[in-house]
Amino acid sequence: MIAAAIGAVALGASLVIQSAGLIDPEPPRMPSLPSLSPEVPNAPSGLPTEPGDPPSLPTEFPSSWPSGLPSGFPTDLELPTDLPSLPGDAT
Amino acid sequence: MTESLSAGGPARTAPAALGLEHADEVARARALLVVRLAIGLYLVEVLLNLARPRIAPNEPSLTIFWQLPGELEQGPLESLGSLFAIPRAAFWLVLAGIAVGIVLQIIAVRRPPEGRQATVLTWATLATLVGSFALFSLVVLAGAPLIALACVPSSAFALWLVYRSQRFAWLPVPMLLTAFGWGALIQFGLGRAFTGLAYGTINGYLNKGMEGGLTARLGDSYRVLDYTLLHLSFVNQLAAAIGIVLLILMFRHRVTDVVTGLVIGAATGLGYNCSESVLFIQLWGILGTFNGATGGFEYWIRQSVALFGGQVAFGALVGAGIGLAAQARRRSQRVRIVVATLVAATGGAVATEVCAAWLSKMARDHVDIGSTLDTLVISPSLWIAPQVPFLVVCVLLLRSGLRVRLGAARTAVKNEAAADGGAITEREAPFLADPALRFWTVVSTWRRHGRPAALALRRLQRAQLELAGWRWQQQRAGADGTPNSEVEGEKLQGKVLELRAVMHRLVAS
Repeated sequence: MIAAAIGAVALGASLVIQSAGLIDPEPPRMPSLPSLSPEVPNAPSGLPTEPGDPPSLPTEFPSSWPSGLPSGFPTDLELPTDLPSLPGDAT
Repeated sequence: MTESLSAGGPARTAPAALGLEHADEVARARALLVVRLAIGLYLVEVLLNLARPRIAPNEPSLTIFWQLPGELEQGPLESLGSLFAIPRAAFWLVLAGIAVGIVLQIIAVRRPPEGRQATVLTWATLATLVGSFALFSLVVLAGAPLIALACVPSSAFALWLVYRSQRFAWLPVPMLLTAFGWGALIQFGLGRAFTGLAYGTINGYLNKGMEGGLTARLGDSYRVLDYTLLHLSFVNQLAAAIGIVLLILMFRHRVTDVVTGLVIGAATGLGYNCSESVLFIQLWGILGTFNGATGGFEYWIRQSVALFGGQVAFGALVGAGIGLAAQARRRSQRVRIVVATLVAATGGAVATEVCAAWLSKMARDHVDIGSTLDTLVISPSLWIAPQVPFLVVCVLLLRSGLRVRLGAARTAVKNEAAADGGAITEREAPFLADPALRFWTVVSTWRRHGRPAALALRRLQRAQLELAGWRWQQQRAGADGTPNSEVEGEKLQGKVLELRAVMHRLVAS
């Protein structure tokens, strides 16, 4: 009966250790994704916070074409009119 | 038997013969009952596995038929899989054995319940019912014959020590070898067969698939292993108990007490330990690539420093309980003792794995893992620590059992000397009853008459004690109302007289 008592205590202690996960191997550490918080710590100052027009881009296209172009150079964008249509619409 | 018939007369020996036959019938019925219960439990395991919840599509009907897909079966995983997989052939052979056993029992029912044929049929039935479980163990042993061979010397040495721990009424060597074989083949096979199915069943109920993510799945897997360990520990003790009961029934004309149970249980545990060592030495040899452990370390732990730990200690505990229960008069008391013993041994077996792992984890930060000190002292100590209370109980039980036997030996030797059969004289009785005096007479004979005479005296003393042990058994059997055969006593008496003649011849020359 003493042995049974010792066995019961040993069994109880083992079940507690198991259920508490005290001998479970540590789970593998997965690489964490970068956080998407709005303010990144230690970020350099002066960066634009919202998209906008880059200052160096031209704001206006030229209004007049250059002169002295070779003869036959197309000055008008004329699209061809006989482009094939979508497949199945060949009729 | 013929001499006892002529001495006692038919009127006295006929009831004795009938009583013997009845006792044989009872023993056979008990042996069959025990094995039927074991087979019934196995079939329940099979049914539970068939009825388990499925966690993946296209699962096989039994989880033991599951295989790793494609290339995952290559390399170390293949080796690991073969170690833990349940061989299909073994599973089908077990079912075939059960079917043959049922047929044999049907045949036995139609034959007379007594006689040699009934005895042969009974033991053939038992052999077919449980013998096929040995294939599970043989697969492991055959997979690593050199490791198995390496475990033989240490196991043989431990078995010899167990044999020598008896002081009186020694169990015969074949009985201990049978116990060892039961542990190595049947008990280990039963444990694998039952737990292989139980693992799949528990996994079906506890594993929730990928619900909750990887962490939750890992947690589920650990809980599955926890319950599987609990299951394995209980099944191992149950299988040990079945083997011990069968052996006691088989050798029922021997003394059955605490020492008998302890010795048979320890021998059973040694057999189990041998097969388990082969498996674990292989396993750690494979896993050494990942965790640094080696097969050599496992050999050191399981076959050297802690050879008497683990299943040897728990088998001895179960055996002692069964030996005590056999002496109890009331059925309720017997049941209580056996249940208490199974609780003790199961608790100890679980604690050995769990508490030792916990202690090892606690010590990890303070110990240089893999160092000489760790290998030789710390790790073995941590593994043995949870078993110490059980080992102490075993030693105390052995000591008290041997004291009882010593007292019995004194009485039995006196009775045999008083019986005037010539096997033990009045002058020899005090020497025989005292181990120190026995040893002193052997040493004195060596000095005066040489080694052959001393060895002859030792054999004579041994035979005289065997005869006295038989006399003790006769008295106990008479007290229990169990008749016993006189044939063995006559053989033992003849052996003593023969050895005495040899002894006289050597001393005279």
